[in-house]
Amino acid sequence: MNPVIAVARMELAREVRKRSFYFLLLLAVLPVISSLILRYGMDRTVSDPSFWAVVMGFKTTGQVSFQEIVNLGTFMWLIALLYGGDLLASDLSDGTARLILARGVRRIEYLAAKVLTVTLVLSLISASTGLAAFLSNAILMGSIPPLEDLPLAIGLGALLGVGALPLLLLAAAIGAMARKPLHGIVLGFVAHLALSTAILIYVGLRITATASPEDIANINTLFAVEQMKAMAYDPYQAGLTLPSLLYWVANGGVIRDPLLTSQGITLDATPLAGAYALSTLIGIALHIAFTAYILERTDL
Amino acid sequence: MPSKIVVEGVSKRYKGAVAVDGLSLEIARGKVLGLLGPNGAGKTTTIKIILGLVKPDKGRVLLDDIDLHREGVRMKRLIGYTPEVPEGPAWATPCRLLEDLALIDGVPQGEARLRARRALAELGVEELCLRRMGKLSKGQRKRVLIAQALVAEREFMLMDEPFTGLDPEWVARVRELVLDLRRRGVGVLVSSHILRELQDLVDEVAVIARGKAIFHGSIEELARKVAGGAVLLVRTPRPAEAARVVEEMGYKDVQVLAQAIRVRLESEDEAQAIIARLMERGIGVRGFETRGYDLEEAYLRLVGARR
Repeated sequence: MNPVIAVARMELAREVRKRSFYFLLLLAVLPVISSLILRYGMDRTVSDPSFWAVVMGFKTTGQVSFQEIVNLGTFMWLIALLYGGDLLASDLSDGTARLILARGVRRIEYLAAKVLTVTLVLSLISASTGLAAFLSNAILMGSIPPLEDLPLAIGLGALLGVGALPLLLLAAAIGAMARKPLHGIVLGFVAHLALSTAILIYVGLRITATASPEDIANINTLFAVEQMKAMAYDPYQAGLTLPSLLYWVANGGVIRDPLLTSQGITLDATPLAGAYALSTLIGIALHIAFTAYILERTDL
Repeated sequence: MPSKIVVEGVSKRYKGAVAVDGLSLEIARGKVLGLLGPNGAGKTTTIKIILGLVKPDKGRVLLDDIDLHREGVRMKRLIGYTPEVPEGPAWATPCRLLEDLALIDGVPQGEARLRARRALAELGVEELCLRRMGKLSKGQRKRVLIAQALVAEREFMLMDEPFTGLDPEWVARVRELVLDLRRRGVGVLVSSHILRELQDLVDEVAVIARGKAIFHGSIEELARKVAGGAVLLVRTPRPAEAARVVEEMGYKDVQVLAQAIRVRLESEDEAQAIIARLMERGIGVRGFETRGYDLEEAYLRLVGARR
């Protein structure tokens, strides 16, 4: 067996044995459960045939609801940090990496096997959530929503797992340096927060410098639009938001956000999605290179 | 088939501290080499450098003429490794771990499970096959980690302190395993900080201290090289004062014990002069005895002289 596949097989067994895996699987079926409660317990129905996209965090309805606040998109960053922090740090601290790398496996092969496996696991979980969200739609409406939405729910769900990679790899590199998963999780979160905050400050300064008095009246909308554009510079957020943009690309190409719509603003999703995709790809490539560099320099 | 692993002038520093300093040694197939040295001498680092787990600042490791870490990475599969610390993934069962490692070693899928079971049986831990590593005792984990090195055919075996944490029965059985590997033509390196563990086991011993090789040869040669020393034990009610007097005479290795002192001598003949001086100074001597070094003390004397 190719050593990369053999290491990936071992990694898959490790991931599946994690408690967090079962927790996430539970989350994946949560939309179905909550839909059953809504339909049969609380006598409520949802008429939106694409409510599944709300469950996935791809779109908002503008109303405060449980699904609006707690959706896959809102906690995917946490999943990425949890999986990333543990990805290399555990193997380095418990000696598993020594047992593997003493057997003629190159460090880059070892990293590739681990990253491929964790991407597969995350994508499977988020794709399952997509499927569950689609099924919950059927439960809520009492009839199956448009079937052409099914590949979209599963495909974009799977893409959410890929989009989480820059943040996951950042936590993995930090965890590997410290040989402690918690360090990767906490410092990865701090770095993520710092970059997000820097983007917000940049947007704020930009609006202050260029906005006219009429713009100031619509400051919330203006801020939202500028923030969406600036997020292309943040691979962590871009990766996690890309599926949402692709959802709008597949649904007419215009972002129909309640806040923007109320102000009569239309925002073209396609160029934004392109910028986010590029940012995500560059982010993944740079983070893989950085993590490989850290791993190569680590004495075991 | 490669005939030897050659370590050529490897050096490694950790944050300025020397771990290995220009070390060279050779592990030949069908021979057992003992790597002997006190804790922190550089034994584990040397083994990790051979395996490519630690990158040396200088030097290289050859498998015959092939640079093991450049052209010969896959050839590391020919080298088995048993770590000193009984570590490993807590989530895995021994059977699962060994099967996965066998697959990484290139063992065909159908055979990997069989090899894993056989290796665990050889180390007497087959009944623990489905228990998680995290639930095993240190000694059991140690045996599992020795077993993992046996899941594939090896030409060489690097065993880092293999006897640490094992009970006497398993020390004897692992010694048998080492001798059996040698009989099968495997080149074995066994590291230890206790010379006794290597007696009647190794063909040659390399003694290292502070990362430098200070002796290389047979254990008999080592005994001849460091023979001649002695230990004097003086029973006295004033050990601290007695020690001071002996140190004034130029003896550096003086230990203060309860109601006694212990002095290392070049020869047993020096004892009389020390006792005479102690009595002359009015320090009560209730009795004394001298004895020659055993091999362990001789080795400690050798590495102690260079620490």
